[in-house]
Order: sequence, then structure tokens, then C-alpha cells
Amino acid sequence: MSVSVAPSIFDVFNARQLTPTEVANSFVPPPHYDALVKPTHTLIVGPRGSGKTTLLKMLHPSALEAWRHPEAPRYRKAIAYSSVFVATDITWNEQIKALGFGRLEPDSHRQFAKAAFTTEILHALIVTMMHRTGRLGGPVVEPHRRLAMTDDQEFVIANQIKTAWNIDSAISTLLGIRLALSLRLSHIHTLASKEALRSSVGRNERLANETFLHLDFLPAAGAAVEVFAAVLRDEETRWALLFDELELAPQWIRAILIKSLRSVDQRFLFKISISPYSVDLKRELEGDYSAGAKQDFEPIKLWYENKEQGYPFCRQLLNRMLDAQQIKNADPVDLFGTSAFATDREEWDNEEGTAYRATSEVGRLYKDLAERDPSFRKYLADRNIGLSTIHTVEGSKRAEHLRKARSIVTLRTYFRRAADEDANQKKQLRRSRKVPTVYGGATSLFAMMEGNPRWFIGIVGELLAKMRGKSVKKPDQVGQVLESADIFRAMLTTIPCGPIGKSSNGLLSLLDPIGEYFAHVAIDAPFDPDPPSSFVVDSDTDDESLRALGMALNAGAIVYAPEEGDVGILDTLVGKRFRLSFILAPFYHFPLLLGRQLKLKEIVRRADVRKRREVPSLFATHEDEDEHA
Amino acid sequence: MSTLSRINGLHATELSGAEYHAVLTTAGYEARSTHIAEAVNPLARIRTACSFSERQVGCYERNVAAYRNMNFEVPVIAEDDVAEWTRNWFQNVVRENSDCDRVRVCVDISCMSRIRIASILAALLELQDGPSVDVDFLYSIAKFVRPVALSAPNVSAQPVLSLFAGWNADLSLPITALIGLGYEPGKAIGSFEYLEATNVWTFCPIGDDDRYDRAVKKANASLLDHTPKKQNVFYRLDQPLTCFGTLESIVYGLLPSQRPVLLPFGPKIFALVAMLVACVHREVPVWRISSGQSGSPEPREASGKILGLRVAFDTAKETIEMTDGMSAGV
Repeated sequence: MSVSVAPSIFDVFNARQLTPTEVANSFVPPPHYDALVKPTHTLIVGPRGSGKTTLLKMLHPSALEAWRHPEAPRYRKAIAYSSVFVATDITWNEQIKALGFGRLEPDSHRQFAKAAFTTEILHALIVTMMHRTGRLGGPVVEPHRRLAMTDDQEFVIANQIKTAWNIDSAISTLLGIRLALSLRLSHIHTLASKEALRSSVGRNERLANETFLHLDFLPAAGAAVEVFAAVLRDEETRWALLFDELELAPQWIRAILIKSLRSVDQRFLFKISISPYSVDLKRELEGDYSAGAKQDFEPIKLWYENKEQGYPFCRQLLNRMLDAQQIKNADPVDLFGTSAFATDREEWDNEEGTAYRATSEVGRLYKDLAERDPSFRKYLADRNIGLSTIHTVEGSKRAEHLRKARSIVTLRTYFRRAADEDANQKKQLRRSRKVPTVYGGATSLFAMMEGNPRWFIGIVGELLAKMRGKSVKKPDQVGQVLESADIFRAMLTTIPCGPIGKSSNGLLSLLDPIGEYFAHVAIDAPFDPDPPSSFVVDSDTDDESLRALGMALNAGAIVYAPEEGDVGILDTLVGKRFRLSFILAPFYHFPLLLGRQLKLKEIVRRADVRKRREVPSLFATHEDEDEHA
Repeated sequence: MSTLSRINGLHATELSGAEYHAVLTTAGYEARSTHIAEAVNPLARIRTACSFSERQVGCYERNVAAYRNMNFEVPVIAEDDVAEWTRNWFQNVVRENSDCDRVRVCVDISCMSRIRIASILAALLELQDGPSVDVDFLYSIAKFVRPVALSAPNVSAQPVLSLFAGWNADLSLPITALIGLGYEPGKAIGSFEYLEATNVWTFCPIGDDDRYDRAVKKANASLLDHTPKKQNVFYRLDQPLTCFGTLESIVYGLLPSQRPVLLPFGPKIFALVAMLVACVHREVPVWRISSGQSGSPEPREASGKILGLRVAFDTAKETIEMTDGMSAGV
């Protein structure tokens, strides 16, 4: 049956569902790719959609061979090993957990689960061997580490592997082994199901007789690569085992993997992708090493805590997408316009040499806010800044007091109503902005995509597809982002995190007060050029909320802003600094900034009473104090 | 293990005073909990109204009393224990009627949780020896209730039961989500994203009350907009057999090139149909995404309309028969 691909906002591009060859069609190497291709053990750390699966698949020979890109030849040469991609996903992991229908004792279940895991790895290894020896088709721009193999050689290799892997199949070819392993996976399920219906008496003996259940993946893989290398004279080749989303695997599988990572078998490299918050894995990886011990792996961080860091990659990705649509030499600013938070290049081109002039767009912006916001007038007055002579403000003072405040000024001007001059006026209502176009424009759009390839391709892809003329209007841009944010929020509510305090809205119960508070201090509260827009997790945050924050981090809803040099995975969130994902900015109306930090407890305490939803009790001893207005 | 060998529609005229070896229903908090027992009065020696250990609110006490008056046994079973309890219940029914060619059971799913429905089907599939079992699954359609504004947080996102986790090990195939739509806003699209599915088919119920149909469309507007029209399927609530045929055909067609995953939100009759399809195609998982017992208890009343499916579980047969003589391959 042919099925139209559902044009979901986020799943127009989901590398998990694409073959390596399909991934290669649109792959743009991000900065991290250089670190990944090195012949070292690697840990790729990133939230959902950050490109972990894409990067791993782009190490696979089928992807490397199909890849057309100016840099492709260099990478094909640099990658001096053969990669074996071991796939996983949520549904598969649940199927492994369900082996034996929950009726087997843990040790027996583990045997079956380990056998399934091992079989998947060996299946993936055979696929790579088949690819290297031309037994699989697929587009080839330039071959990568191909080997010639005669039928006789294949016969010898296959026979040896069959023996090592306890395969009884009569067909002595790599394809025959691959098919036998597929059948073995079915057999594992059938066997486990039958055992579930049988008495446990005699089970150990029955399972002991099934020799394939007792294979360990590393020795088994080692035996296979040894015969492959010997017959085809390929002794120098190393093999990279690529494990995707390791946090989905049971803890004991991770332990097996980590133990293998520390093995002395130099033929194998391990490249593992994982979400940022993974308590067990961090501790398993560090084990009981003494201080100063060398780490086993090189970690690669796949997110950008500062938006500017993601811009170059976004530009490259955009160019690739435009090429595919045969749109040449399009500048992002021409396509999407200048961000309201940035200054047009032309504004700087004048006698005074500054965009900060009374008659410039920036100058008018500041004047507009000063007219409607008494607290901003006070801010200027306290610093002796007159807007009619703004161009005379000395450089460093201008930078400190005006340029730094630019984003906040823009946001406040856009959202605030003019204040009633009546001194009794207490309420400052925001303008109703169904589609806040202030978040439109090239750099703002890039910022909101967080350098996340899945979001970028999904959202910008939709915009380019709907584009009429040579540019995309800001309402369309922000409308698309808002729609995506809604879907993202719906996904966040799906994540089973259970109740958080008295909340009824899952993860959003944590995120809503934070987003609303950051918007409040930026727009409604008295003017502050650097309002809080990041938070630090307090030490007395309860376990429920810590777990939920971890889920939010792994889902990409919050972004970790690490200390310098810290690029690894987190085993605790306490004391760490985070901001909300910028894709949520048009929904909550907070600034696109990694700004000043505030303790999470304090944010919750100050959450706006009027807009308050059920505020979770995050802390063991929640202090029920009055809110600040 | 036994297999699903035959599935028929049921007309209301076939139900009144029908005789069974056993009846299984639910003593819950909904007003419609006793509707079928009272309206149909299925006759059986073993009559069990399984109740819940939590959420004993609303009409619960009234329903328990009513069932006891109708000579139902009313055990209180926690959700964690219901799978094993159900398995034992069916084994007992079959054992007590082992001299019959076929055992007839009536099951009212109206107020059952999805786990309980799944537990029943799992118990039937796991029957190994003894007579075949014919089950009349009955469902009392509820009157419309306005959707709740705030829903409870999810506590579970996983296969409804281990036996319905499926097994499709070809991870190179993309996932297609087949989603029964309900009127909880964002649940379907959120689940689609959570599974990281590539494709989607939506199943939208049509009943006699427009208000429900409109609420479902409103709650799922974004997903429906992004789903190709030919993959938006409408099914009539009162035609579960047709729904089964449609869903089974789609799943069968998808299997060579996709990994279908069933997410039967919305009316429970669709959940039953989805699980019956998974009984045929054992590799297909059925997922449940739920707030568990923390969701708001809705006091649903019976609309008066009862519908059903008659399903046969046999140990010998390999094809399924449907009423009009069509067969579905397994």
C-alpha cells in the first residue's frame, strides 16, 4: 500500500525513519561532525531532534557513498573505519521490555532481551559487511572502503560466521546470515511467549539448550570481523558500533555496553548518542575512576545555549534547502526580513556612524517606549540619556545602557499599551497579539529553531513550500512557529511525568510559570535592561519536579547553559542553569536571550497571581508567601 | 494459544434474554454502568461485575448495590491485578463448562478501562485447551458530556498490556500511527510526535450526536489539517464490524512497508476494535496514553443505544470469518 507521508510540522524530516542514503540527500555537516568522525569513542549528547540520529547515520558507508556535498570527499577520506548503525526507538524498546509478557523472572527476561539486542547488533554488522562488499545496492557518488569479495570468499566467511553465531541456515552467504538473524528475532519472541505460558520449572535447562541465547555481542562481532578481515585482507580496518538513544535501553544493557567500551579490543570503536539528562549512564560511565583518570570517550554537545552559535549551521541548512528548490543566492534577510531585535545594516551607514540617532528607526523605537513607559523614562533619566541627543552618548555607555537593552525595548514597545498617566493606574495590560510578528525575521527565526535540524527543516521547509514571491511574510513565519510550538507543547503533555504537586498539566505545569514570569519581567514589570531569562535549579527541589525537569531537558523544552568546559551528560540538575527553548518564545512572549539567572524557587514564588495556574509544590517545605504584583 | 477465528456484528434484537455461561461487566462510577445488565438482562450462571479499587465516586455505590440485587458477584480488583484476575476468571469459566463444545460469554465493555478490555482479550488468546469461546462484547453508547477543560497529566505512555506490545523488529521501516480520535485537545497529535511516527491515519467517530463529532474535530484540528485526506477515516459508532473490517484492511496493507502502531483514543468500542485487529496481527502494538486514575471521573449516562460484536476464539482455525462470508488473512 502506498501511504502519503503526513506533512507533520516536525516529522517532515525525522532521520530515525530514513535510510542512511536518504539522510545523505540533505545532510549539511554541522560543526560537531568533525569531532564525531575522529577514530575515537564518542558520546553525542543532545535533546530530541538535535540531530543525533542523523549524525550517526552519516557515518554509515551507504550514507557516505551517496553523499553529494563539497565537503563529502574530505570526510570520506577522513573516516578510516566502517560503521555499524544499531537502531532503536520507543516502540522497539517497549517490545523488548514486553518479552514474555511480564511473566518471566528477571534473569530469564534478561536472557531474551540480551539475545534480541545482540541479534540486532549482529544484523547491523552483516548489513555493513554486505555494503562494503557490494552485496547491497544504493546510490554511489564515491565508494567508501569497498572490498572485492568472490563467491568462494563469501562462502568461507559466511560459514565461519554461521558457526560462531550458532546459525543453522543452509545458505552460506552474507544475505543468508542476514535473513537467518531476522528469523532469529522472531524466534526470540516466540520462545519468550511460549516460556511465559509454561511453568518455570525446568526453564533454566530449556534456555540453556538454546545456545544462541548466550552469545555476547562483542566476542561474536569480533569473531566475524576477524574472519572477514583475514579472508579479504582487511586487517587494518576498525569497526565503529553506533548506538542510538542509549537512554532508552535498560540499565543492564547500558552496563554491558560500557564494559565493552573499556575492553581492550582495538578493532572496535563505540559512538553512542544520548539525551542530556541521564543519571544512571553518567555514573556508569564514570564508574569508580579516581580523579585524573582519562575518560573513555569524547563528548559532543549538540545544542547552543547562545543563539548566535547556531546561526552558521542554520545558514548552511537553509542554503541546502534552497538549492533543492533551485533558489540561488538568496540571503536569509532577503527571504525573511530583518529581525525586530536586530538593526538593519543601512542604519549604521550615516554621518554620525551609529544607528542610535533621534531620527533613526532605533531612535524612534526608544522614543516610542519612553512615551508609553514611565519606568523606561526613569531609566533614561537616571543615566542622563536624552533621546533627542542619543547619538552623542559615548560608545561604552551606549553599549551598556542602550544596546544591551535593545531586545527588551523592542519587546516592551511591541506588547505594552500606553500607560495611563493617572497615578492610580495599577494594571498594565498587554496588547492582544495573536501572532506576535516581533519574533519574525531571519535571526529570530534561526534562534527559535535552536539549531535543531528537525525543527528547522520541518518549519522552514513549510515556509519555503508556501512561499509566494521572493520572501516569506513575518506573520506567516511566526504563525508557523506558533503552530509548531502548539504541537511541541502537545507532545510535552504526552510525556508521562505524573502529577507534579497539585498540577494537572504535566510538564507544562513547570514550564508555564517560568515562561510567563520571564515574559512578565521583560514586558510588564518596571523596566530592566537585563531581566531574568534563565534559571538555576535549587538544591531543595523535590524529586518529582527534578524528574520532570529532566524530561523537559531531554525533550528540548529547556536548554542547558553549561559552565565552560562542561560538555558531558548531566546526572543532576541541581545547581545547573537553564533557559526555555526559544521555540516557545512567541507563545509565552519572553525575549530571545540567555539573560540573567534567577533561582527556580524564586521564579515560582514570584509567578504572576493573575495568570497563575496551579503552581506545583516544588519544594519539600513550600513557603506560601504573598506574591509580588 | 487460541486465535480469533470469527467476528460478527450483533443486533439489539439478538440480545434480550440471551443465554450465556458467564457474564462479565463493570461496577464503576458512571450512571450507564448497569444499563446493559438492566436492559438486556443476559442470563448466566456466573455473573460478575468487576469493580475498581479507586475512584469509588459518582454512581459507584448505587451501581454496586444494583448489581448485587441482580445476583452479580462484585469483586474489587485493583488495576495492577486485573490482568491476572481476568485470566483466572476465564480459565475458571472454561473449566466449569469443559463439557460444552463452545462456551458463551457476554462482556459489557461500556465502563471498562482499556487495560481491562485488553486483559479480557489477552485471557482469551491465552486459552490453550478446552472448548472454544464465543464472546458477545456489548457497548452502551453514552450521552454527550462536554469535554473537560483541564486534563490530568499522563502517567503512562506504553503498550496497553505486554501482550499487545507487538513485535516488529525491522527498524528500518517507518512507524505509522493509526489514531482513534477523542475529544481531548492535543492528545492525538502529541502522541504522534511522542512516538516519532512518520505517517498517520486518523479514525474519527460519527455518532448520533453532532456535538460529540464537532468536539472531536475541534480538539484534533491541527492533526486533521496535516493528515492527507485519504488517511482521515470516519467510522460509525454503531457499525463496529465495518470499523473492524476497515481498520484490519488498512493495517494489513501497511505491514509490508510500515510498522503500524494503534493508538485507540476516543470511544471504547474503537479500542476494542483496535485490540481485535491486534489479535489478528500480533506484530502490531496497541498503545495507551493515559492519566490513569487521576483523570476526572465523567458521570456518563446511557443514551439507550446498545451495540456489539460477537467474536469467536478457537485453537484450530487460521482464518477469520466475518458475517458476510469475507475472510481476513492472519
